[in-house]
Amino acid sequence: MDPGAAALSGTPVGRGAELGGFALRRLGSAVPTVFMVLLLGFVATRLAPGDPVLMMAGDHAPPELLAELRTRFGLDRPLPEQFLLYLLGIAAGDLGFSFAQQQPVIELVAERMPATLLLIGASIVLALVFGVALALLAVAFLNRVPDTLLSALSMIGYSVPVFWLAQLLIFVFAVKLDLFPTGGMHNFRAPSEGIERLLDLLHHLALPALNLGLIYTALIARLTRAEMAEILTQDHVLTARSKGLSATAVLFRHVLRNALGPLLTMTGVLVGTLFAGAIFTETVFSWPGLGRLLYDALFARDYPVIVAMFLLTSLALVATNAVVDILYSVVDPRIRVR
Amino acid sequence: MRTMMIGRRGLGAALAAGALAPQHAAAQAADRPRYGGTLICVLPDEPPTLATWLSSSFLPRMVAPQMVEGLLDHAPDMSPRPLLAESFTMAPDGLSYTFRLRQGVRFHDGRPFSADDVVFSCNEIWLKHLPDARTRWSAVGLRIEKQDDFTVVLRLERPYVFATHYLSSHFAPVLPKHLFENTDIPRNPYNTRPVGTGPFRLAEYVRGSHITMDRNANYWRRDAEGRPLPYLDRVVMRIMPDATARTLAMSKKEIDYQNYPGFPVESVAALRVAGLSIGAEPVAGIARIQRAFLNIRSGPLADLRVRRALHHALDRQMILDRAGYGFGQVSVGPLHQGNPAYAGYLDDATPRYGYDPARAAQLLDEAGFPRPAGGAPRFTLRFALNRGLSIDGAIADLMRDQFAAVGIGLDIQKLDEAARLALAGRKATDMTMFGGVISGPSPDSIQHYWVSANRDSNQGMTGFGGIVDPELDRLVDAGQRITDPAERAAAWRRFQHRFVEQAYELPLFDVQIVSVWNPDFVGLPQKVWGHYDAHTEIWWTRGRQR
Repeated sequence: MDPGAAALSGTPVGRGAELGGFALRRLGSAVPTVFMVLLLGFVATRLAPGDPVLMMAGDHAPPELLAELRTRFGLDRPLPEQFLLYLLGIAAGDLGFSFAQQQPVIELVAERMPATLLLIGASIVLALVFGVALALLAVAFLNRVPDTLLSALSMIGYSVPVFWLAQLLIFVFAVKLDLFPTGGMHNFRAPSEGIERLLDLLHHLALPALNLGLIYTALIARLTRAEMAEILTQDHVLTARSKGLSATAVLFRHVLRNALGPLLTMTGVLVGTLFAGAIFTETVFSWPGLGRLLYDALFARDYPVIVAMFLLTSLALVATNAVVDILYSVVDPRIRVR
Repeated sequence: MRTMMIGRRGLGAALAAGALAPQHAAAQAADRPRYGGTLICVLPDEPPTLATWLSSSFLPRMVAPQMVEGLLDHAPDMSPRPLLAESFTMAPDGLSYTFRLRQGVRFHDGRPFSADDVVFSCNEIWLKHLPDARTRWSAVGLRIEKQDDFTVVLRLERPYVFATHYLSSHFAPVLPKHLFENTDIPRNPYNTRPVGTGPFRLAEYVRGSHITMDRNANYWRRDAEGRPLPYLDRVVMRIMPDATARTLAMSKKEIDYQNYPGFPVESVAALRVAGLSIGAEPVAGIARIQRAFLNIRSGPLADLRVRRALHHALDRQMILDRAGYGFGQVSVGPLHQGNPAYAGYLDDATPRYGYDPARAAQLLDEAGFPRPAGGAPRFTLRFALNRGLSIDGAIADLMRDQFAAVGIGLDIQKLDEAARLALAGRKATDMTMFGGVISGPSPDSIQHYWVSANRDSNQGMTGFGGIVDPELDRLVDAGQRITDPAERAAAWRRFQHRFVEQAYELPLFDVQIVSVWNPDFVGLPQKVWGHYDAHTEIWWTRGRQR
């Protein structure tokens, strides 16, 4: 066992308390962040031109009906009062009520959350597996043809717009090769149950996850390759080599392992951008996730949904970073969480 | 069978004439309708709600009529047909209609339908919560009274000849009183789980994904042979916001029917190759016109000569062919020429502004806008568009080039719909366009754009033009009151004449909405309301005989 790991864990009870304290401190430090996000989200949505009530009722609704709706949604009150009421609601765990969909925001979010988590989760796994594999391949052939080729490919991969790649994937793999469905989460013509339903879901998940995953595969491959190329020049790698370790052993045990920390940090940052990319993937593949909920809410000027999505995204980022920090301490025992 | 190789423009013309639509129906007419099958349709956006009784959006109207029915259905020329009302009579003064309701009809939950449901739906739901109904009916003072359990009387304070157009399933859905009575109607749980008397009942609604509706085995209607309706086991409406993805899914027959407004006409050729049937949607209920609205309050557009010059400067046939792929007809006035319900509403004396750049230049000179030396424009017009509508963008680019040829600058602003409406409400643009705008089912359906009383409204497009024309107001009013069809047609003829003579708007082309469907289904495209019709009589050729 690595001696560093023991130093980190101490007694099991000690480690649990350490992590618990860490989580609490992180949560505490997130409060000002969340407040700023709420304030900015609230102000930005109201500064955008457009009237949610007009979008809801149409522009030739009788003015009295528009006034009734404004009262119903509290839009007739002064802005500071609206913000205060919203904050009080949030503090009580109430995310508000969607104007456009006439549903509690929490219900709308809860309905759409699983689809997005599934898509983002599958994309991260895919991006990590392929990205690291490609980086290893590139480093094994550093500055030779496969490396140059991979660099060029990942450059292209990262610059391709997500929605365009999505349409291309559908055209090739769904229409021409007929390997996958063009979109949606399930087959509507022949609904299935049990294990078949799960397989059907995975069949539908493949292309969207590939779409979103490919963009980040390229990014992870590039950054991991750069990180490993730099580690290769360090003294301990020279030492390992001079000990007579095989090239593969050096690559996996000494180079890749030391690149895991930066890789984790990068993945943490990616989660936020993945969410942005998911909006496009969800749109083209008609995947019923949160990205499209936000997209529709923006067009409808559905303030409560928009601000709630800002809030959730920022909380997700705070949580991801906390998890990354904990994992970091696991892969690199020199780092301790505090 | 006709050959399929028809050019763009020819195809549009052929569709407009309805030449292609009947072929599949003809081939299969000898076959008896079969039972079973799932029809997969598509919604181009997430519906804000399924409650057609709370929202005037077109999206819930594409879904709810499968489940919730109105008093009347209609023929393609908008003459009424029985639905939940078996018959009706209109009083000679046009101020009351007596509806005889169908007996033995049950809601999806098994409770019987009666006059109480109609009265409650009208007085407590449509008139209080449905925006367009509230506007329309409050103007004519509508109320509905129960006479007995199966008779209701609809009373108006002033005659409104188009009243029956608006009693269809999508405009006036009859809801079960027992599920809505004594509730906060906008938050009633049945808004997301509609319960009606319709041919299909809600099975599942997964927001962002799909709406599944299963056959209502207890539906009251029978077909001509007395067999139960509907034929299909299931209708699924998939929510697919990306146009390219919709076309690709259609080409694989993962969806069976696309018929929404804004269908990407550029994909028609590819879908035909993929073996799908292409047809023309009915016109009367929707009657869309691709038109630019003009703000004539001030600036160059306040001058009639300038407005006429705009018309002469445009080669509208070219715009129709290039941006609209020939699906339609160059417009004359504000009412769709292809609408059978508007037969006789346009006279030959109404001006036709042909493509004549020289005449446009001359009119602009006369109006006091000479062409400056050095290639600068005479003046520049601000033109606000909905950025989500690619056809509008293509049209605006063609307009900019053609206006430039006569020395008019066009400053195109692409905005999302909420921002465009806000800009239009502030009158902070000279022109605006937002796709094919309805002119149906009745010619007064968009009077809120025109009537002088709305001139000072700040509500989006309402009164955008700033038109003040008592003669026009009088004709719109007369056109809604006159019960004699010939006299009414004369009023609308004079209305269109006046409107076009004054060039109050810049209509480009009367849109032919195209639909694409899987030829395994018979009875498509829909015949009356298009995307608002229930799929009661659609059947699947691979279904079972019964």
